[in-house]
This record gives sequence, structure tokens and C-alpha cells, in this order.
Amino acid sequence: MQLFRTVPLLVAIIFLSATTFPSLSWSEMLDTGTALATQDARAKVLAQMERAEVVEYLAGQGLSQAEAESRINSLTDEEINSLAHDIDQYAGGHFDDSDDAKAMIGVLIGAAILVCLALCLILLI
Amino acid sequence: MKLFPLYKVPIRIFQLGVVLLTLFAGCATAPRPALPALPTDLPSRVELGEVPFYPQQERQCGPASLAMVLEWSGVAVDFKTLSGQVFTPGRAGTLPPDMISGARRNDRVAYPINSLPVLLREVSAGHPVIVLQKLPRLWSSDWHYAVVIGYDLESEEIFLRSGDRSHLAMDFYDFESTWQAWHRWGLVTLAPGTLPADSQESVYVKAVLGLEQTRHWASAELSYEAALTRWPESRSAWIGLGNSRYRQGNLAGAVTAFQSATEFSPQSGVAHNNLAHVLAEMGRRGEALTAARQAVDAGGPHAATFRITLNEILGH
Repeated sequence: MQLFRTVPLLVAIIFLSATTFPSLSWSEMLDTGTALATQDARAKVLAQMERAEVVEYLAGQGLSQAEAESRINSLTDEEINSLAHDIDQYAGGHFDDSDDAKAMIGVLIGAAILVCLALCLILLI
Repeated sequence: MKLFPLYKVPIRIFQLGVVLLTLFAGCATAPRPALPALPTDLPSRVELGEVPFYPQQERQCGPASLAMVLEWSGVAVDFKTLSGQVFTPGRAGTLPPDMISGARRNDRVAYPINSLPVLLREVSAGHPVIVLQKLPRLWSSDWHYAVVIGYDLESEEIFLRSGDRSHLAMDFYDFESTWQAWHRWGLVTLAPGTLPADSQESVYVKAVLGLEQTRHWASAELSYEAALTRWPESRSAWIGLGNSRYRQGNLAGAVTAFQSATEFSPQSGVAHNNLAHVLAEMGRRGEALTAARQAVDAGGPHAATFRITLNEILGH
């Protein structure tokens, strides 16, 4: 996945930063997710970018922007991280059935080779 | 050139059949997956008949499975709304993370299950488990969500509500081979304040964190409190409890929680930092300064934030 893509992406990041981690009256109070993850600010920014990318992906799959954001805002940074990683695998089919297609081609080629071998054997008999 | 005698054709076809059968016989028997060691203290047979059944409509196995476990855990389910929350039209299906966020948006703790022993333990404790399976078809395979509602250790069978079947028995081996395709993805949805049978502090606290992040502060508070009955010294649960109470405007309750966090984990800068904030907001400046200094002394990845907090309280 490309990290730096378009202006809308950056807008989405800013928007998500505001919605996912609403500012407290004391801006330096740390949320529980931060306390648990012991991650630094850079990891946090990366998670925000991943959120924006996942929202963009879902919005391209027939969901409204608001619905895509509601779904993503209900996930923790750790879950976003693994989702961003999995999206490449989702992209192929209903999840990814391309493995099946590859396996099927393998089976067909294997069967063809076996038939040839069998024919050779018979002609030798 | 001598022609191939026609009378030999049936014999040749027979020979071809024999050869092909011999060659393919090796492919026909796939090895059974090895089962993990199962706990020995489980009841030998369980079936959770009280779990409601939603027969699956076209491509709606995700929403249907979630509806069953949510309703079991006490949510009044509106199927159309729920489907809108988890179904993705462009994928003609439901992605696993959307099942998790869907549970949270309906005010439930989404607790992940990733192995057969843990799955059986949850079911024996009365908790139905959603599972994601890869079911083989003739030419391809289908991703499918179903709900585990029981098992029989003697006949080695799992009982599921699956598709249009309210009771489908599947043997342990077939189940394992269909379940392992997507990291043995499983999910229990728990009402706020209830605990899974499985005892993993960090997994449960993270599950509650997801609920907290979905802004269900009161439910998160209840669930952190439940976590603390089982893991009384959990730093994460105390901090989460403090944050959830703070979000609901319960400053005194937040102080108590953050103080407990600092007692059990004196090295936690976050606990001292958040304690300092709430104390300062309550006007207890002296105590706030002490806590803020302790946060700065603890240091760590958030040291910069701790210094800002201290300066803010000092009025710089």
C-alpha cells in the first residue's frame, strides 16, 4: 500500500484524528489505547494513516463514508494494523479465492500429465 | 504400417481406467489434521439450545451469525440495521473486523477465540462462539460464518447453527480443517461486565478497550471493573477504568482508579500523568504537582507529554 497518495487522503487523516481521538478538556491526558500499546507518536501517526486507507478502501466497496468511518472508529490501533495488512489479501475475491484458482490450475495440469503418462504406458503394453 | 486392431479398444479403455485409478488413489485420501490436546475437565456433551436461530439469507451468514450471538447476549437485534453495520456490498460478504466493530457498536465486548481448546471451554461455560470457516465446494471454496452452540467429546463432534441448519454436526477433524484457513478466527460477544471463561488478562482488557474507544464509556467501566475482580493488579484495567470514569464526568472515581494504578505499578508514567490531570482539574494542585513530577521521573516513550503536563500545572 502506498502511504502518500492524495490530498483527500490527508484530509481524511485530519478528520479521523479529530473523530477517533476526541480532544479532552486536558489535551495531554493519555487514552487507554496509548497506555496499553507503549507506542511512540510516530506509530500513532502511522495508525492514523492506516485508518484513512482502510476507510478509503471500504468507501470504494459500496459503503458510505460515514458508515466506513463508524466501522473503523470501533477498532483499536492494533486491529487497524492487522486489517491494513490483511486488505491486500481481501482484495482478490470474497477474501481471496485466487489460491483456489491456482490450486485448480495445478490439479488440471497434474491431471493432464497423468493422462499423458497413462497413455504412454498403455501404448507400451 | 500395421493398424491398431479395433477389438483391442475395450481392453485398452479398461487398462487406462485401472492405471488412472491407481494414480489418483494417492490423492483421494488427505491426511487428517492433528487435533490439539483438549482440556480434560470439560463436560462431555454441551448443547446451548437457548441460542436463537437466524436462518441465513443470500450471502448474509455474517449478519445472521452476529444476530444470533448478540440476541443471546441480550441485544434487541434489528436484522436490517445490523446487516448495514457489517455487510460490505462490494465484497458481497462480511469482513472479520466488521464483525468485531459490529459487536462493539451494539454495546458488547468482542472477545477473540483462536484455538479449539479455548473454543470448547467457552461453549461449556454457556457462551456461543462465531467461527469463520472455509468450506470446500466442487471447484472452489466459500468463506462462511457459523455459530458453535455445542460439542460432544465422545463422538468428537461440534454442533453449529450454520446457513439454514439450526443443528449441524461436524466432526472435530473436518471442523479444524475448515476453521484453520483464516487463523482460526472466532468471536464471543459478552454483555458489559461479564467475563469470558478463558483467562487472558491482556486479551480481555484489549477487547474492553475496543468498547471504550467506541464511546460506550459506562459499559467499558463495568467491564474494566469485572476484569479487576479477576486480575486485581491489572495496570491496564485500572487506567482504562480511570479513563472511562473521567469520560463520564466522574472525576473522584477516576482519581481512585488512577491511584490504584500507581499503587500497583509505581513505574507507570501514564497512570501518574492522568492522575495529575484529574487532580489539577479538581483544583487539588499540590497533589497534582506531586503526581506530575512522578510521571516525569518515570519517563518512557511518553516523557515529552509528561513534561508538558507538569509545565501546564506549574502554570508555565
